[in-house]
Amino acid sequence: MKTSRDRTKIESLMREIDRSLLRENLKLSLEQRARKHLRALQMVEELRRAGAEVKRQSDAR
Amino acid sequence: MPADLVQIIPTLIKTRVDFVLIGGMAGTLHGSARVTFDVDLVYSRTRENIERLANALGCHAPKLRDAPPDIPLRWDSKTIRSGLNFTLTTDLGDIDLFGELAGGETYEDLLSHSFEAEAFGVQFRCVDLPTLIRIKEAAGRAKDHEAIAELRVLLEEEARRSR
Repeated sequence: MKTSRDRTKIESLMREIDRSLLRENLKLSLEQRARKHLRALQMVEELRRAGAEVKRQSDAR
Repeated sequence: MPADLVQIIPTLIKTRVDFVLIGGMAGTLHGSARVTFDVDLVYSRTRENIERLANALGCHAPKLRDAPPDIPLRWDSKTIRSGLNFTLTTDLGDIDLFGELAGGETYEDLLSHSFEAEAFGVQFRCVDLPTLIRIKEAAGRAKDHEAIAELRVLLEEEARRSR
């Protein structure tokens, strides 16, 4: 990053990272990592759809 | 539309498109736990590769993302040659194509900073972790701080594992 402020911010964020989660990912093959990501992506999309539907019903009332 | 790496990569490889995977999906392959919605690729700007890229995505309904729907995109080699970077939505998901990165790096520059990944039944080039961090840092976006922090932790973890 360009500024020392950015570097300080990133170093601070690094201390908050859940390393155990990353270590579990590193045990997986590349394909397993990609498929795990796809499942997470699909879940996020499903939650987005559900949220939009709740909002639509709420607005219709 | 979220990108399906499992479909996109084999589609490009089977049509012999030369590219290097960068961005969040490259981070995923390096072990990132962050969810990312598009696939970022740096593609070779040779005439032959542009032709292959036009053919590979031409049948997947490419449109310019965030452009008004009445602005049509004629996805062919002439359009790709005239442009450089494209943010597309396709029926395989959102794909960002870079002919050149913010720092001026091209596909050829990235080749020596990439490795051959094997997944989804194909082999393809993925940017290495130090270069992925450098690219994100060069972009200088505040929204990348968390991603850079995670990638730096992954770099430390890789070093720890190889000791």
